[in-house]
Amino acid sequence: MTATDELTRRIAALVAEELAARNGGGSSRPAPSAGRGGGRAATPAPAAIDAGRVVTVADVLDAEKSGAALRLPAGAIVTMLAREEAERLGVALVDAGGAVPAGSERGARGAGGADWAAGRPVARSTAELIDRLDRYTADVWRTEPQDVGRLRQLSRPPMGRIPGIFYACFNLFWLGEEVQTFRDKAKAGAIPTAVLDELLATLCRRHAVRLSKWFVVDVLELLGDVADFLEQRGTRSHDEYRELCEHLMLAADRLQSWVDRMLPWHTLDDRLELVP
Amino acid sequence: MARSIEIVSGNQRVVARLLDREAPNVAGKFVDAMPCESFSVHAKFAGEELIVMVPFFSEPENEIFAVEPGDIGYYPGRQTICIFYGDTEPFGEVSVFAKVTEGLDVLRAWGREILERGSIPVQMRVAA
Repeated sequence: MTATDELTRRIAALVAEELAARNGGGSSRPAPSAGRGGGRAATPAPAAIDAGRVVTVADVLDAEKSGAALRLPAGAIVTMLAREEAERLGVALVDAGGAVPAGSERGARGAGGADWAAGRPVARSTAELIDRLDRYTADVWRTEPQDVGRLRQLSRPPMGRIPGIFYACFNLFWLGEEVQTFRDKAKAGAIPTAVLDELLATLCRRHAVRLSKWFVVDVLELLGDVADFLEQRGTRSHDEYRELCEHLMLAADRLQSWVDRMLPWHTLDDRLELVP
Repeated sequence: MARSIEIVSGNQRVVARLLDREAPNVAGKFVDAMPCESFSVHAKFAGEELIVMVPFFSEPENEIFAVEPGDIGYYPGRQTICIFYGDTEPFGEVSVFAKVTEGLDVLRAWGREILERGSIPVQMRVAA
Protein backbone atom coordinates (compact mmCIF):
# COMPACT_ATOMS: atom_id res chain seq x y z
CA MET A 1 0.00 0.00 0.00
CA THR A 2 1.41 3.38 -0.96
CA ALA A 3 1.44 6.38 1.33
CA THR A 4 -1.28 7.94 -0.80
CA ASP A 5 -3.44 4.84 -0.54
CA GLU A 6 -2.96 4.81 3.20
CA LEU A 7 -3.90 8.47 3.52
CA THR A 8 -6.97 7.95 1.36
CA ARG A 9 -8.01 4.95 3.40
CA ARG A 10 -7.59 6.94 6.59
CA ILE A 11 -9.55 9.95 5.31
CA ALA A 12 -12.30 7.71 3.97
CA ALA A 13 -12.63 5.90 7.27
CA LEU A 14 -12.68 9.10 9.30
CA VAL A 15 -15.25 10.85 7.16
CA ALA A 16 -17.46 7.78 6.92
CA GLU A 17 -17.32 7.41 10.68
CA GLU A 18 -18.23 11.03 11.27
CA LEU A 19 -21.03 11.08 8.73
CA ALA A 20 -22.46 7.83 10.05
CA ALA A 21 -22.44 9.21 13.56
CA ARG A 22 -24.25 12.34 12.47
CA ASN A 23 -26.74 10.56 10.26
CA GLY A 24 -27.56 8.23 13.09
CA GLY A 25 -28.28 11.13 15.40
CA GLY A 26 -25.10 10.55 17.31
CA SER A 27 -21.85 12.36 17.06
CA SER A 28 -18.23 11.76 17.73
CA ARG A 29 -18.33 15.07 19.50
CA PRO A 30 -18.81 15.10 23.22
CA ALA A 31 -22.45 15.18 24.20
CA PRO A 32 -23.67 18.66 25.13
CA SER A 33 -23.49 19.29 28.83
CA ALA A 34 -26.70 18.93 30.77
CA GLY A 35 -28.34 22.05 32.03
CA ARG A 36 -27.38 24.26 29.14
CA GLY A 37 -27.60 27.77 30.42
CA GLY A 38 -29.10 27.06 33.83
CA GLY A 39 -26.72 25.64 36.39
CA ARG A 40 -23.70 26.08 34.16
CA ALA A 41 -22.14 28.64 36.42
CA ALA A 42 -21.66 26.04 39.13
CA THR A 43 -19.80 23.68 36.80
CA PRO A 44 -16.13 24.41 36.22
CA ALA A 45 -15.34 24.71 32.53
CA PRO A 46 -13.13 21.92 31.19
CA ALA A 47 -9.70 23.00 29.99
CA ALA A 48 -10.24 21.25 26.68
CA ILE A 49 -12.82 19.02 25.10
CA ASP A 50 -11.98 16.34 22.57
CA ALA A 51 -13.05 16.79 18.97
CA GLY A 52 -13.94 14.06 16.51
CA ARG A 53 -11.72 13.32 13.53
CA VAL A 54 -13.58 15.63 11.19
CA VAL A 55 -13.76 18.96 12.97
CA THR A 56 -16.52 21.33 11.91
CA VAL A 57 -17.89 24.62 13.14
CA ALA A 58 -20.23 22.67 15.40
CA ASP A 59 -17.24 21.35 17.34
CA VAL A 60 -15.83 24.85 17.73
CA LEU A 61 -19.17 26.11 18.98
CA ASP A 62 -19.38 23.25 21.47
CA ALA A 63 -15.98 24.22 22.81
CA GLU A 64 -16.86 27.88 22.90
CA LYS A 65 -20.09 27.11 24.72
CA SER A 66 -18.14 25.13 27.30
CA GLY A 67 -15.52 27.82 27.62
CA ALA A 68 -12.85 25.30 26.65
CA ALA A 69 -10.17 24.72 24.10
CA LEU A 70 -10.72 22.06 21.46
CA ARG A 71 -8.30 19.15 21.46
CA LEU A 72 -7.75 17.63 18.02
CA PRO A 73 -6.95 13.96 17.54
CA ALA A 74 -3.98 12.99 15.43
CA GLY A 75 -4.74 13.34 11.73
CA ALA A 76 -7.82 15.47 12.31
CA ILE A 77 -9.45 17.15 9.32
CA VAL A 78 -10.41 20.68 10.33
CA THR A 79 -12.73 22.49 7.96
CA MET A 80 -11.70 25.97 6.89
CA LEU A 81 -14.86 27.38 8.39
CA ALA A 82 -14.09 25.69 11.69
CA ARG A 83 -10.62 27.24 11.78
CA GLU A 84 -12.06 30.63 10.94
CA GLU A 85 -14.77 30.33 13.57
CA ALA A 86 -12.22 29.21 16.18
CA GLU A 87 -10.12 32.26 15.42
CA ARG A 88 -13.13 34.55 15.51
CA LEU A 89 -14.39 33.17 18.83
CA GLY A 90 -10.97 32.75 20.37
CA VAL A 91 -11.27 28.98 20.78
CA ALA A 92 -7.83 27.39 20.90
CA LEU A 93 -7.26 24.34 18.70
CA VAL A 94 -4.83 22.07 20.47
CA ASP A 95 -3.06 19.15 18.87
CA ALA A 96 -3.29 15.79 20.60
CA GLY A 97 -0.86 15.74 23.45
CA GLY A 98 -0.37 19.49 23.24
CA ALA A 99 -0.75 21.80 26.18
CA VAL A 100 -3.84 23.96 26.42
CA PRO A 101 -2.76 27.59 26.05
CA ALA A 102 -3.10 29.64 29.18
CA GLY A 103 -6.21 31.76 29.15
CA SER A 104 -8.13 29.55 26.76
CA GLU A 105 -10.56 28.53 29.49
CA ARG A 106 -13.18 31.20 29.25
CA GLY A 107 -16.50 31.84 30.77
CA ALA A 108 -19.26 29.68 29.36
CA ARG A 109 -21.54 31.46 26.95
CA GLY A 110 -25.16 31.60 27.96
CA ALA A 111 -27.91 30.44 25.68
CA GLY A 112 -28.56 34.06 24.77
CA GLY A 113 -31.24 33.20 22.25
CA ALA A 114 -28.86 31.22 20.07
CA ASP A 115 -30.13 27.93 18.71
CA TRP A 116 -27.46 25.53 19.87
CA ALA A 117 -29.58 22.42 19.80
CA ALA A 118 -27.99 20.98 16.68
CA GLY A 119 -24.47 22.08 17.51
CA ARG A 120 -23.92 24.69 14.84
CA PRO A 121 -26.70 27.24 15.12
CA VAL A 122 -29.14 27.54 12.29
CA ALA A 123 -28.73 30.90 10.61
CA ARG A 124 -31.28 33.34 11.98
CA SER A 125 -31.84 35.09 8.70
CA THR A 126 -31.12 34.80 5.02
CA ALA A 127 -28.60 37.61 5.44
CA GLU A 128 -26.71 35.66 8.11
CA LEU A 129 -26.67 32.56 5.93
CA ILE A 130 -25.45 34.57 2.95
CA ASP A 131 -22.70 35.97 5.15
CA ARG A 132 -21.52 32.42 5.91
CA LEU A 133 -21.53 31.55 2.22
CA ASP A 134 -19.63 34.72 1.36
CA ARG A 135 -17.01 34.03 4.02
CA TYR A 136 -16.36 30.67 2.44
CA THR A 137 -16.20 32.17 -1.05
CA ALA A 138 -13.74 34.80 0.16
CA ASP A 139 -11.64 32.15 1.91
CA VAL A 140 -11.24 30.03 -1.20
CA TRP A 141 -11.14 32.77 -3.81
CA ARG A 142 -7.40 33.27 -4.11
CA THR A 143 -5.90 30.10 -2.73
CA GLU A 144 -6.68 26.50 -3.46
CA PRO A 145 -9.28 25.21 -0.98
CA GLN A 146 -8.21 22.46 1.39
CA ASP A 147 -11.11 20.42 -0.01
CA VAL A 148 -9.22 20.45 -3.31
CA GLY A 149 -5.95 19.64 -1.58
CA ARG A 150 -7.58 16.52 -0.15
CA LEU A 151 -9.07 15.69 -3.53
CA ARG A 152 -5.58 15.74 -5.02
CA GLN A 153 -4.66 12.91 -2.65
CA LEU A 154 -7.83 10.92 -3.14
CA SER A 155 -7.50 7.56 -4.83
CA ARG A 156 -10.20 4.92 -4.88
CA PRO A 157 -9.99 1.40 -6.23
CA PRO A 158 -10.03 0.18 -8.87
CA MET A 159 -9.79 3.28 -11.09
CA GLY A 160 -7.46 5.37 -8.93
CA ARG A 161 -7.30 9.14 -8.82
CA ILE A 162 -8.42 11.01 -11.94
CA PRO A 163 -11.89 9.45 -12.43
CA GLY A 164 -12.94 10.54 -8.95
CA ILE A 165 -11.82 14.08 -9.64
CA PHE A 166 -13.85 14.14 -12.84
CA TYR A 167 -16.88 13.01 -10.91
CA ALA A 168 -16.28 15.60 -8.20
CA CYS A 169 -15.95 18.25 -10.90
CA PHE A 170 -19.23 17.35 -12.56
CA ASN A 171 -21.09 16.77 -9.29
CA LEU A 172 -20.17 20.32 -8.28
CA PHE A 173 -20.95 21.63 -11.76
CA TRP A 174 -24.49 20.27 -11.63
CA LEU A 175 -25.02 21.53 -8.12
CA GLY A 176 -24.49 25.05 -9.46
CA GLU A 177 -26.62 24.47 -12.53
CA GLU A 178 -29.52 23.06 -10.52
CA VAL A 179 -29.40 25.83 -7.94
CA GLN A 180 -29.59 28.28 -10.82
CA THR A 181 -32.74 26.56 -12.08
CA PHE A 182 -34.42 27.19 -8.74
CA ARG A 183 -33.04 30.72 -8.69
CA ASP A 184 -34.69 31.38 -12.04
CA LYS A 185 -37.97 29.94 -10.76
CA ALA A 186 -37.84 32.32 -7.81
CA LYS A 187 -37.24 35.20 -10.18
CA ALA A 188 -40.33 34.18 -12.15
CA GLY A 189 -42.26 34.24 -8.87
CA ALA A 190 -44.88 31.65 -9.77
CA ILE A 191 -43.95 28.97 -7.22
CA PRO A 192 -44.51 29.76 -3.51
CA THR A 193 -41.31 30.28 -1.55
CA ALA A 194 -42.25 27.51 0.90
CA VAL A 195 -42.20 25.04 -1.98
CA LEU A 196 -38.96 26.43 -3.36
CA ASP A 197 -37.42 26.25 0.13
CA GLU A 198 -38.31 22.58 0.41
CA LEU A 199 -36.98 21.81 -3.05
CA LEU A 200 -33.68 23.57 -2.47
CA ALA A 201 -33.23 21.94 0.94
CA THR A 202 -33.83 18.54 -0.64
CA LEU A 203 -31.41 19.32 -3.43
CA CYS A 204 -28.71 20.41 -0.98
CA ARG A 205 -29.11 17.24 1.09
CA ARG A 206 -28.99 15.04 -2.02
CA HIS A 207 -25.89 16.76 -3.33
CA ALA A 208 -24.26 16.56 0.09
CA VAL A 209 -24.64 12.78 0.05
CA ARG A 210 -23.01 12.63 -3.35
CA LEU A 211 -20.26 15.14 -2.55
CA SER A 212 -19.42 13.32 0.67
CA LYS A 213 -17.87 10.67 -1.59
CA TRP A 214 -15.22 13.25 -2.45
CA PHE A 215 -14.70 14.51 1.12
CA VAL A 216 -15.30 18.16 0.27
CA VAL A 217 -16.19 18.75 3.90
CA ASP A 218 -16.31 22.55 3.80
CA VAL A 219 -18.99 22.53 1.13
CA LEU A 220 -20.83 19.73 2.92
CA GLU A 221 -20.98 21.97 5.93
CA LEU A 222 -22.37 24.85 3.90
CA LEU A 223 -24.96 22.66 2.19
CA GLY A 224 -26.06 21.47 5.63
CA ASP A 225 -26.35 25.07 6.78
CA VAL A 226 -28.52 25.97 3.80
CA ALA A 227 -30.75 22.92 4.18
CA ASP A 228 -31.14 23.46 7.94
CA PHE A 229 -32.07 27.08 7.41
CA LEU A 230 -34.60 26.34 4.68
CA GLU A 231 -36.20 23.54 6.69
CA GLN A 232 -36.34 25.36 10.01
CA ARG A 233 -36.77 29.01 9.08
CA GLY A 234 -37.13 29.56 5.34
CA THR A 235 -36.86 32.56 3.08
CA ARG A 236 -39.38 35.36 3.35
CA SER A 237 -39.67 36.38 -0.28
CA HIS A 238 -38.76 35.39 -3.78
CA ASP A 239 -36.07 38.07 -3.80
CA GLU A 240 -34.49 36.65 -0.65
CA TYR A 241 -34.57 33.17 -2.12
CA ARG A 242 -33.02 34.35 -5.39
CA GLU A 243 -30.26 36.15 -3.54
CA LEU A 244 -29.53 33.08 -1.42
CA CYS A 245 -29.26 30.95 -4.55
CA GLU A 246 -26.85 33.39 -6.16
CA HIS A 247 -24.50 33.34 -3.17
CA LEU A 248 -24.71 29.55 -2.89
CA MET A 249 -23.83 29.30 -6.57
CA LEU A 250 -20.80 31.54 -6.09
CA ALA A 251 -19.55 29.41 -3.20
CA ALA A 252 -20.08 26.04 -4.88
CA ASP A 253 -18.94 27.23 -8.29
CA ARG A 254 -15.73 28.67 -6.88
CA LEU A 255 -14.84 25.27 -5.48
CA GLN A 256 -15.86 23.72 -8.80
CA SER A 257 -13.59 26.13 -10.66
CA TRP A 258 -10.61 24.98 -8.56
CA VAL A 259 -11.43 21.34 -9.23
CA ASP A 260 -11.83 22.06 -12.94
CA ARG A 261 -8.52 23.93 -12.89
CA MET A 262 -6.51 20.93 -11.72
CA LEU A 263 -7.81 18.59 -14.39
CA PRO A 264 -5.45 18.22 -17.39
CA TRP A 265 -8.12 18.96 -19.98
CA HIS A 266 -5.53 20.29 -22.39
CA THR A 267 -3.70 16.97 -22.60
CA LEU A 268 -6.55 14.49 -22.64
CA ASP A 269 -7.02 14.08 -26.37
CA ASP A 270 -3.31 13.71 -26.99
CA ARG A 271 -2.82 11.09 -24.31
CA LEU A 272 -6.00 9.06 -24.25
CA GLU A 273 -7.95 6.94 -26.67
CA LEU A 274 -11.56 5.90 -26.43
CA VAL A 275 -12.29 2.27 -25.80
CA PRO A 276 -13.31 0.71 -29.13
CA MET B 1 -15.32 59.36 -20.98
CA ALA B 2 -15.49 55.61 -21.46
CA ARG B 3 -14.21 53.51 -18.57
CA SER B 4 -11.54 50.89 -19.15
CA ILE B 5 -10.33 47.83 -17.33
CA GLU B 6 -6.99 46.05 -17.23
CA ILE B 7 -6.32 42.34 -17.13
CA VAL B 8 -2.78 41.51 -16.08
CA SER B 9 -0.80 38.26 -15.92
CA GLY B 10 2.91 38.35 -15.18
CA ASN B 11 4.30 41.43 -16.86
CA GLN B 12 1.74 41.50 -19.67
CA ARG B 13 -1.40 43.57 -19.79
CA VAL B 14 -4.64 43.70 -21.75
CA VAL B 15 -6.87 46.79 -21.79
CA ALA B 16 -10.57 46.74 -22.55
CA ARG B 17 -13.22 49.45 -22.83
CA LEU B 18 -16.35 48.89 -20.77
CA LEU B 19 -19.61 48.96 -22.72
CA ASP B 20 -21.44 51.01 -20.13
CA ARG B 21 -24.24 51.90 -22.50
CA GLU B 22 -24.91 48.42 -23.88
CA ALA B 23 -24.43 46.47 -20.64
CA PRO B 24 -24.64 48.93 -17.74
CA ASN B 25 -25.53 46.40 -15.04
CA VAL B 26 -22.84 43.85 -15.85
CA ALA B 27 -20.23 46.57 -16.40
CA GLY B 28 -21.23 48.20 -13.11
CA LYS B 29 -21.05 44.97 -11.13
CA PHE B 30 -17.71 44.15 -12.71
CA VAL B 31 -16.29 47.51 -11.64
CA ASP B 32 -17.71 47.05 -8.13
CA ALA B 33 -15.87 43.71 -7.85
CA MET B 34 -12.50 45.22 -8.80
CA PRO B 35 -9.66 44.81 -8.09
CA CYS B 36 -9.85 41.04 -8.30
CA GLU B 37 -7.33 38.22 -8.44
CA SER B 38 -8.32 34.98 -10.03
CA PHE B 39 -7.03 32.47 -12.56
CA SER B 40 -7.80 31.83 -16.18
CA VAL B 41 -8.46 28.51 -17.82
CA HIS B 42 -9.22 27.82 -21.47
CA ALA B 43 -12.58 27.13 -23.05
CA LYS B 44 -13.01 23.46 -23.81
CA PHE B 45 -15.56 23.53 -26.61
CA ALA B 46 -15.94 27.12 -27.79
CA GLY B 47 -12.68 27.78 -29.58
CA GLU B 48 -10.20 30.52 -28.75
CA GLU B 49 -11.62 31.80 -25.49
CA LEU B 50 -10.20 32.38 -22.02
CA ILE B 51 -12.40 31.94 -18.96
CA VAL B 52 -12.06 33.69 -15.60
CA MET B 53 -14.50 33.33 -12.69
CA VAL B 54 -15.59 36.60 -11.10
CA PRO B 55 -17.15 37.08 -7.65
CA PHE B 56 -20.59 38.36 -8.62
CA PHE B 57 -23.84 37.31 -10.18
CA SER B 58 -25.62 39.49 -12.70
CA GLU B 59 -28.66 39.19 -14.90
CA PRO B 60 -27.81 38.75 -18.58
CA GLU B 61 -27.92 41.76 -20.86
CA ASN B 62 -26.60 42.64 -24.31
CA GLU B 63 -26.57 38.94 -25.06
CA ILE B 64 -24.66 38.08 -28.20
CA PHE B 65 -24.11 34.72 -29.83
CA ALA B 66 -21.80 35.64 -32.72
CA VAL B 67 -18.98 37.18 -30.70
CA GLU B 68 -15.80 38.60 -32.23
CA PRO B 69 -12.15 38.47 -31.15
CA GLY B 70 -11.70 41.05 -28.41
CA ASP B 71 -15.23 40.74 -27.05
CA ILE B 72 -15.48 40.11 -23.31
CA GLY B 73 -18.72 38.58 -22.13
CA TYR B 74 -20.25 37.58 -18.81
CA TYR B 75 -21.84 34.15 -18.42
CA PRO B 76 -24.25 34.02 -15.46
CA GLY B 77 -24.46 30.23 -15.45
CA ARG B 78 -20.90 29.92 -14.17
CA GLN B 79 -20.25 33.52 -13.00
CA THR B 80 -17.38 33.76 -15.43
CA ILE B 81 -16.11 36.24 -17.94
CA CYS B 82 -15.36 34.90 -21.38
CA ILE B 83 -12.52 36.59 -23.23
CA PHE B 84 -12.63 35.81 -26.94
CA TYR B 85 -9.28 36.13 -28.69
CA GLY B 86 -9.66 34.34 -32.03
CA ASP B 87 -11.80 31.85 -33.86
CA THR B 88 -14.75 30.82 -31.78
CA GLU B 89 -17.48 28.27 -32.04
CA PRO B 90 -19.98 29.80 -29.62
CA PHE B 91 -21.45 27.51 -27.01
CA GLY B 92 -24.16 29.97 -26.08
CA GLU B 93 -25.00 33.63 -25.72
CA VAL B 94 -22.92 35.77 -23.40
CA SER B 95 -23.52 39.27 -22.04
CA VAL B 96 -20.89 41.28 -23.89
CA PHE B 97 -19.84 44.12 -21.56
CA ALA B 98 -16.32 45.07 -22.70
CA LYS B 99 -14.18 45.21 -25.82
CA VAL B 100 -10.40 44.76 -25.92
CA THR B 101 -8.58 47.87 -27.11
CA GLU B 102 -4.98 46.82 -26.37
CA GLY B 103 -3.34 43.42 -26.16
CA LEU B 104 -5.22 41.05 -28.43
CA ASP B 105 -1.81 39.54 -29.25
CA VAL B 106 -1.21 39.12 -25.51
CA LEU B 107 -4.46 37.19 -25.21
CA ARG B 108 -3.32 34.86 -27.98
CA ALA B 109 -0.06 34.24 -26.11
CA TRP B 110 -1.97 33.59 -22.89
CA GLY B 111 -4.22 31.18 -24.77
CA ARG B 112 -1.22 29.21 -25.98
CA GLU B 113 0.32 29.25 -22.52
CA ILE B 114 -2.84 27.96 -20.87
CA LEU B 115 -3.17 25.21 -23.46
CA GLU B 116 0.34 24.13 -22.47
CA ARG B 117 0.15 24.66 -18.70
CA GLY B 118 -3.51 24.37 -17.77
CA SER B 119 -4.11 27.78 -16.18
CA ILE B 120 -2.50 31.15 -15.46
CA PRO B 121 -3.05 33.65 -12.63
CA VAL B 122 -4.68 36.94 -13.59
CA GLN B 123 -5.34 40.25 -11.89
CA MET B 124 -8.17 42.51 -13.02
CA ARG B 125 -8.69 46.16 -12.13
CA VAL B 126 -10.24 49.37 -13.35
CA ALA B 127 -7.75 51.29 -15.49
CA ALA B 128 -6.50 54.54 -14.02
